[in-house]
Amino acid sequence: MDALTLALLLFATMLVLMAIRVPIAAAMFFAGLVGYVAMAGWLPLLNHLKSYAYGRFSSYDLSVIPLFLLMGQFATQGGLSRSLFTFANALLGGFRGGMAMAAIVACALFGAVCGSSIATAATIGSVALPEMRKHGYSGKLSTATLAAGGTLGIMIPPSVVLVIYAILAEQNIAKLFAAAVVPGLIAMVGYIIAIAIYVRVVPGLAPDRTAPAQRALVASALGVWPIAAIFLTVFGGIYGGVFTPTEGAAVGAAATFVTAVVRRELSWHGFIQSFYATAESAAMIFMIFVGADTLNSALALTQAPNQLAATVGALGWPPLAIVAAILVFYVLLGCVMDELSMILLTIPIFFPLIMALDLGLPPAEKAIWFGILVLMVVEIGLIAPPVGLNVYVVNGMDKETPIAETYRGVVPFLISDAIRTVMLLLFPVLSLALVRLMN
Amino acid sequence: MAHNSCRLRKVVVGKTLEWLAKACAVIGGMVMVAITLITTGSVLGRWLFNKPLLGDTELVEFAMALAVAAFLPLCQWRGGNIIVDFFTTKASQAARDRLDRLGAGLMVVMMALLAWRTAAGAVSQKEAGSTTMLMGLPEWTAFAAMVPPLALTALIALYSAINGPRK
Repeated sequence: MDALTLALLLFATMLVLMAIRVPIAAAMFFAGLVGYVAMAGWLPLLNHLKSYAYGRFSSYDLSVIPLFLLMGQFATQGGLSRSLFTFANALLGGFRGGMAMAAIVACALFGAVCGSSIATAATIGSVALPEMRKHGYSGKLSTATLAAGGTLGIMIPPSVVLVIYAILAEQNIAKLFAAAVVPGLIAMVGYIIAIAIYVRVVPGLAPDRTAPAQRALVASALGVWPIAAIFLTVFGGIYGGVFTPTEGAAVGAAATFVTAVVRRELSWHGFIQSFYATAESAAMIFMIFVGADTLNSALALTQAPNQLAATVGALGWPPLAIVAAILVFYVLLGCVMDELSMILLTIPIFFPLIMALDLGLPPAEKAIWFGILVLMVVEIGLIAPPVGLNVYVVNGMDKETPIAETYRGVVPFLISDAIRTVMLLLFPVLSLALVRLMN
Repeated sequence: MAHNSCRLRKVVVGKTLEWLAKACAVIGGMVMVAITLITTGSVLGRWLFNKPLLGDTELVEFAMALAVAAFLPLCQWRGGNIIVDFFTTKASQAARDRLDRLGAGLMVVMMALLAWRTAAGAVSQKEAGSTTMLMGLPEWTAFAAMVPPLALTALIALYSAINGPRK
């Protein structure tokens, strides 16, 4: 059997297992085992597995993920979300649809200390959703806003997706985080514009007469400064070279914990709950990592990724068309798979392909630019049908709104996502300007 | 009567597994809090007094391996591992339950394999006497400490494979 056939067979095995509800981590693991045994035999496999779990779990680069998850959980349990929403609402409440816009801004601010999309949607949702419904916002707009706003959690650093990309592509995490800042802000502004247009075009989504902006802007700003301070310390320190991303995440988690305790918001119960939530997300991510790594080491043995790069190179397509085709592929794959499995499985295959293309950028910048594009498209799968995870989570918090309504409400945000992705594809400078500035 | 005692046993086993999984998660969380404190201390020491804590990186690696392993049982207990349900939305509940038990069965094999090989790894490391570079921590202790939570995760998966997914 030649290498490419074996590689395809492994993928087929994995997909069949996934389709019959085997956990993704196990599906990848067993497909990888089959491949490993076929290429190298049983004894090397058993030997390889001896230090397998320790090797993956003790990775210094990966340790940044549980630390950022813990930091996000301390922020969640520490009641920081309410101050963020109050502040954003005082800022934007006067506009038509202003409370929805405020929810987006609150998500973006929370995204600055939280690297997970679902946690952001759920945390800000628990505060903003009841307020919006109380003030006469439709369930369709309210739930869709928070589902889309949640994706700002992974777009704005810290971002679990970017950490994984950085490790797979062997890129600098700090630079990738810096590159994500401007696209993240563009996403926030794009969502606000989408809301402004949406409430004007479709009647009945938001109350006609908006409440006058609260004068409590200054007072509520006091509740926001700890988040700003933590963000600046963590990322200032990482970019400034004062500490590594892992150290930054540890300092950030400690600072968020102290803030939550000083504000007297973190109870013993909340403290233990933040452990449970961190445990569940971190374990889920590391399990996927273990599975994907097994499959990838088997695929690497087959050398199929290099063959694919050569095959695509021989097609003679324009480089930008190949990038666009890969992005479309991610959007489609995102309909059935979660973002982490997708990245773990495909980056080892696509990354060499991208690096072989001539796009008029130096290799390091090309890697960063592509990483940001991947981040943008995998995030679409979180709010697009049929299994937008954010849509499920937020819709579950509002019992009166059918899920089909939320999916319809998400459409303007998806249009905004598409426009932003094309902008970032055509103008790499949007992602790279801040990185260049810092060199 | 026999049926009742069987159900009682299932409940007792389930409660015990849940308690153990939660205990592991709290231990893992505490280890992470220790990591944040040590790291923050090391950063401050380096920054304020130019005195870094020697070997803090390997301490983080060592401790994080324990924490992540300790997180696995609760994730398994809560059904936190991602599955693709896109292709089975039309299947009956009974059919989906059967598939989920099969999935849990594969998780048993995967976790048991990892627990077994990690235990074997601990033995090899001890025989080789390998230690971390700067602090000289014996690496086999980390391997050995990971085995119980890995085995517990396999047991929890076995519980789901036998009793079906928890609702």
